[in-house]
Amino acid sequence: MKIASQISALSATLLPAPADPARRSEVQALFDKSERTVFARVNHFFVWLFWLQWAFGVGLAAVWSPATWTGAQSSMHPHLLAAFFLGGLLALGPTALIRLRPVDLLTRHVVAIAQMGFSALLIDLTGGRIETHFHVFGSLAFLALYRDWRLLPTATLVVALDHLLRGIWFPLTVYGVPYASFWRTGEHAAWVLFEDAVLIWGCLVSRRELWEICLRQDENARLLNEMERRVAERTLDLEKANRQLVEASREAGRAEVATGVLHNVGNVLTSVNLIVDDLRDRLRDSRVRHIRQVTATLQLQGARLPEFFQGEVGRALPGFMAKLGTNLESENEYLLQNAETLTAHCGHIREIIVAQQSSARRVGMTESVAPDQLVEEALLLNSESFARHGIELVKSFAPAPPVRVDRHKVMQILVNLLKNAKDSILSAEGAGRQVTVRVAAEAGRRVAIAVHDSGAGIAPDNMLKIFQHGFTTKRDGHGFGLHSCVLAAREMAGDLTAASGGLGRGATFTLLLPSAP
Amino acid sequence: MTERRPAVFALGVILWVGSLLTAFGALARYGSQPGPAARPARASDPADLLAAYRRPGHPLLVMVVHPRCPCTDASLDEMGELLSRTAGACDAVLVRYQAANWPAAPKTERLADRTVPVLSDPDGRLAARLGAETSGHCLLIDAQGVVRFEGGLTPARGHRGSSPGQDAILSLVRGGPSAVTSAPVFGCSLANACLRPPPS
Repeated sequence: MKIASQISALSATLLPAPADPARRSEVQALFDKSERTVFARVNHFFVWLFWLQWAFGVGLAAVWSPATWTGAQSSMHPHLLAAFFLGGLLALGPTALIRLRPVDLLTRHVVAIAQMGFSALLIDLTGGRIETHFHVFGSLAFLALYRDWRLLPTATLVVALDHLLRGIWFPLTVYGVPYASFWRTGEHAAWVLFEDAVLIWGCLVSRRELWEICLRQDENARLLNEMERRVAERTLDLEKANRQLVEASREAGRAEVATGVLHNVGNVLTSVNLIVDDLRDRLRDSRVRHIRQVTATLQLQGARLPEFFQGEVGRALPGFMAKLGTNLESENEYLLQNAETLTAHCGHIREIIVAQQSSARRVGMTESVAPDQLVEEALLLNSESFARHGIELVKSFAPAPPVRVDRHKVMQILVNLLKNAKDSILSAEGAGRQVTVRVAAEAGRRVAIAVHDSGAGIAPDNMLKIFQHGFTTKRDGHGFGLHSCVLAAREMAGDLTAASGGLGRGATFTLLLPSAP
Repeated sequence: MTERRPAVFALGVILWVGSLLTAFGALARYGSQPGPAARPARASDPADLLAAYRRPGHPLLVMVVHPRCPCTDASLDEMGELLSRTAGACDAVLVRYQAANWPAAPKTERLADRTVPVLSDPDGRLAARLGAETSGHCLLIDAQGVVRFEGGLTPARGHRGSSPGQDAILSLVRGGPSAVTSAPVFGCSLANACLRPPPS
């Protein structure tokens, strides 16, 4: 008992404990679970082994000693009965306990007793062959598979008792001599103890290894949890950053549209200012004051008015008035023309603002719209700028079904594409100044709106980066425009692609939109 | 009920262990139980009965076996071992029980290979005259025709290994003394019902 308690203490000290008590309990739980897995696996093995040994014993007895004889008369040999019933009893006990209480220490002890019982039975059935005694050593090794050193003393005790009791009462059956000394039993037991020592050491070492595996598993699980927590945090941060980025891109997109609108309105207002200045100068220098001078001159004549008309000035006055009338008519016509121009400019400003308001009011709403109508509205917002820079606009609208889109997003994209086309043309000196806008139905119930410019083109290296956030080739660009455009297109189940023959060969941006069902 | 279950299982294990001890005890008792110790008086002198197999100046070892007895293998092995240790100093003969219509049993063929003559013994008549009732029964007849030893060569039923009988025969063959003149015989009964004397 003292040795057993010392082995238990040694077993405990061989298991390095973590400093943290909470962790110790978690490692212990893992260790217990692993041990249960080992027990289950070895239990399963032993159930098979027991019944195989039982079948082997029955077969052995049936072949070797099927019958006992009295002259010519035979009866069933006791070995056959023992193999069947005693072997069955040996196998049945542990099998039942393994089914009912698989993890109990008692079950494992019963397994140990049964296995050593099979050794004794098989030794008896084979007529005490020394070769069959090796079954004892094999059985001890099998029991060590449980990694529970406590089973080995039990098994050894069974072997020792078997030899001791048979040595006392039936020495011939175990030692082959009629009288056996107590020391002979001790000698047999010593060889078993020799194997026990190795197997117990093996059990303790394998338990320590199992414990260390559990320690590492626990560490890995902790690291994994920590990593998962960090990944979750980073994912939340990234989602938040992404939302902010998308919002910033949308804001940037809206700013692009607003900038485009204001730019165009500003262009018109410049013309309006020029006209107004001209009108003011014209009105300040108007010949209407000559009428007031003629009238004042006539009023000064009073009663002498007839003589006045007889005079040189009076005679020249009708010609002067006729010329003045002609001039005033010309002036009036000029002012009228400018007023009409002003009206047209104001109307243009109104149209731009209405178009912007029209798209802005529909933010977040999808509607069925004719694609060429969307293009026309976008072109309206850019027409002034195109005209001012002498950019020729070519429209090629093939029949296409209506698209189901968020009008504001499409306007944002098209205004951006048209502005980029203009900037590209302006940045490429000596290039032709032409922008072609095409509308056509595409396969897969989609409509393509392509904006082609004759501008600077895109370098092949930049093709993959063109839609990335923050990428720009403009000196004053911020890299939001195309990124927000492709996001907006994808939000509408569409897409935006770019193509270019290379630098100096222009570029084509194609917006694909889903057609309305 | 749950608290009682461990006790129930422990009780079950105790009963199981008790059953095993009983069964193993019975098996050991059977294995170490020899044939009848008391033998009927011989009607004939074995030396006369086997005179044809005796050589002058040589002892003769006679073994009577039941060819279908499971213990015969062990007895034959031990006899072979013993003869090899005597290094030709001892002759041997095997008396094989033979019931009517039995085919020749292969178990004795091995000894026949060792030039041990095998006598077929219909219905065990010769065995009865030699006073052998149990398979594995041996007689050592010395050069003078005196039976110096009688008994078995195995330590238990079907068990191989050294036995007092072997030691005694070996000592006698080598011309030494032996305090042991008989040993228990482990094997099946050779007694044929028709030859058995009526119970008194």
